[in-house]
Amino acid sequence: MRKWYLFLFGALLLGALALVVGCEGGEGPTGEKGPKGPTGPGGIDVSAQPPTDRYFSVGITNGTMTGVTGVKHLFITFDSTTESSRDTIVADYVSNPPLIDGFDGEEPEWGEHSSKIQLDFMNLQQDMTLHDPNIYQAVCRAAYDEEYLYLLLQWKEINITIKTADGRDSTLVDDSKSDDFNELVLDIPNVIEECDTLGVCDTLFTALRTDSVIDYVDTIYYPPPPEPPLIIYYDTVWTVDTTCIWTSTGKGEDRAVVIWSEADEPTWADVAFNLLFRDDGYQPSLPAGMTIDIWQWGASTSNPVCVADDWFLTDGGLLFDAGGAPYLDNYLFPDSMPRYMHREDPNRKTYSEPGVRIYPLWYYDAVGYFWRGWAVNRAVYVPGIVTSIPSESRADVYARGVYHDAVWTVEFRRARRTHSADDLVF
Amino acid sequence: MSVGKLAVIAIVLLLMAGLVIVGCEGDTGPQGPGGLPGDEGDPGQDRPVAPAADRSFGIMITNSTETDFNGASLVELTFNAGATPSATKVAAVELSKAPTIDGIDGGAAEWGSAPVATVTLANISGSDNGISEARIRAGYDSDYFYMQVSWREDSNTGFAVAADITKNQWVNDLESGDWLQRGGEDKLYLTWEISGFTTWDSQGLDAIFDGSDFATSGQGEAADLWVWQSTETNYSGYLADMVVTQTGLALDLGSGFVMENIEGTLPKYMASNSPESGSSYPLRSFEFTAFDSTIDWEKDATIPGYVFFEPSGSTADVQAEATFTAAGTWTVELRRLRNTSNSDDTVF
Repeated sequence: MRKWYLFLFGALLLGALALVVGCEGGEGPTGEKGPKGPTGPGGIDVSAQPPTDRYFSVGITNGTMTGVTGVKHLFITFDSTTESSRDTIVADYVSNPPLIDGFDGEEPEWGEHSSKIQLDFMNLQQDMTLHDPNIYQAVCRAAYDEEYLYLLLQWKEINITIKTADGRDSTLVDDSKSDDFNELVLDIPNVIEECDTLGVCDTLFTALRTDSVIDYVDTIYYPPPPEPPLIIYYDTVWTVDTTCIWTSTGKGEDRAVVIWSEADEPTWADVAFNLLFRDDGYQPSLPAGMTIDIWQWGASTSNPVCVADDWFLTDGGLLFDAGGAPYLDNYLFPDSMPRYMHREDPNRKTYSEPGVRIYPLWYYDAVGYFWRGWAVNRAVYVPGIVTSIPSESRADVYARGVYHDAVWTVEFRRARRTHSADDLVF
Repeated sequence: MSVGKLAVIAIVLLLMAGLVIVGCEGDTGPQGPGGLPGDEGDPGQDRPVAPAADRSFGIMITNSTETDFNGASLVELTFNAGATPSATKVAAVELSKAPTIDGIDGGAAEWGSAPVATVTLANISGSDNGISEARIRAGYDSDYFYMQVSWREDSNTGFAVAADITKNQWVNDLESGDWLQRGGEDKLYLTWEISGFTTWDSQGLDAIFDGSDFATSGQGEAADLWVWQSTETNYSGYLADMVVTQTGLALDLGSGFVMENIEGTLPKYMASNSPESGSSYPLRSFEFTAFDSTIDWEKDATIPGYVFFEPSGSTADVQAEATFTAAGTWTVELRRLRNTSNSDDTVF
């Protein structure tokens, strides 16, 4: 019996040993290869980095040179995680550049951010006759890629008409497409009416230039007119000399000005606005070493050639960038003669045909002004500028504006680095 | 030992062997953990702004005339910023900010550390026009090569100190009843090797200019020639980008700057609707019409000697602006792409 107990005990002991020792299984198989490591940090190629955040200003006019509405201190950031606001413009990176065509392509073109910037009337000259353009808001979008910075401004013009004391309508601001900058007019009937009112003239020129020495006194006779109508007599219509009686209508244009600075403090904006939008001779200056880059889009002066006129401002004053201008002044000589007219002039646009479009007067349609043949019984007009092709650094800013239903949409594009010292680097 | 005990021991050993064989086949262990991430990739590379290769160039300057050249046939242009400029060496430096190409010397504010090299000029052909030195700055960045050349005209040599921006101007001489052409222009020539020369580094300008004409002596030799002219090119904002080969001198591909305004002994063109006093320079391509000899031209009425056009194509590769001071100093500033991708241009 003991044998069997001994046998049983030995068997159990061996079994226990076998369990303890024999259950140590083999090592499992090697694990799978780990995942690929993260991409290394990018290089420091400046051109591939987002531009530096900075401040800029926007000014907008409606058919005038000095009646500006704008904002002096907008912040543009290239960090797309920032939230846009009325004074913070967020520029998104775009892999496909927006089409610079004057039509707002919205988010598909410009990315998700846009701002409604608030504009204020700046009566810089404290001129009580200057009317508020009543443009208080504009849409602003911005975008960038490796090569270019893009900007969009969109605003709506309004029409304000009041009744004057004598019951007539008087338009303070209008919502028209003001693209007839500085139109020149020859308005002999109006001048003669003024002569008649003054009761001083028996010749047109003696009335016009009573305080000047004029060689042409006998050229146009103006005997006392029969009433009505006003009849003008000439010794011969072919010797009517229109040289001395052209005047500027003083028309401004719809204009959008973008002013860029590298400086954080906003005093530069005051200087720039005063130099750009005043005509009273006030000439503030920038601190030494500061450079302001200015893009001036004008419905008449630059839009026909799809640029914004590129200027810059330093402590030396306001200057054009180097290169050819987008327009030539059809200026009045000291004797009040336009420099150019359309090859189909004289009398292409007259008071009786006000709908005739004479802007833009392209350089290839312009011929030297000729003084004969102009209508003398109604006002006639020639453009105050000749549109030409800009060049070099002055043509750095590509821009296109489209006017539709009183809304201007103006889009800009400029190389982030133009390699010209008169431009800021973005 | 009895057979029974041996049997028991054998059975126990058999059982143990069986247990060892069967019981050691344990479960496979769990899969090991994933490997560690790979090493970080290499950093990206900054866009290099590599300096151009050092080279030699030639320079010539005229004052009002077409045949009297002062210059230096061989001037070294080094892109080693540490080099010291001399009478025969110009050192170009990398510019962090491009200069304004306006013909106005902006000094160090525009040209940074680019040193001024005062290059000695001597008479090369014709009479000595007295221009004995040119002050030259050069710089570059990733895309452009920039240069400023300034010289002072000399009044002691019989050459006029004047801007000369109305070359070949027509003037109505009532006394003789003729229209007369008056005036010359100032010129700056800069020449660079494009390809094929074996003697450029020893001859420079002399390899392409014999004192009156430009041509290379060997087939396959080509030189880039930049010609700034105070009248013919100065109104355009560019200088004339030309190429010299064995067949002579030619504008690069593209359209040129001027059309000569002459037919026989009279102007061929005038400003459209010109006043009887005539018109001044420039007479642009959109302003001209056929000359009208029946106009009652005033005494000393003027008509430009050229009709001016905007150049295009490779002819207009080099942007240039210039100013002339009352003291008689011309300052010409220019910039050109380091690589225009045009075979008629040198590469910087």
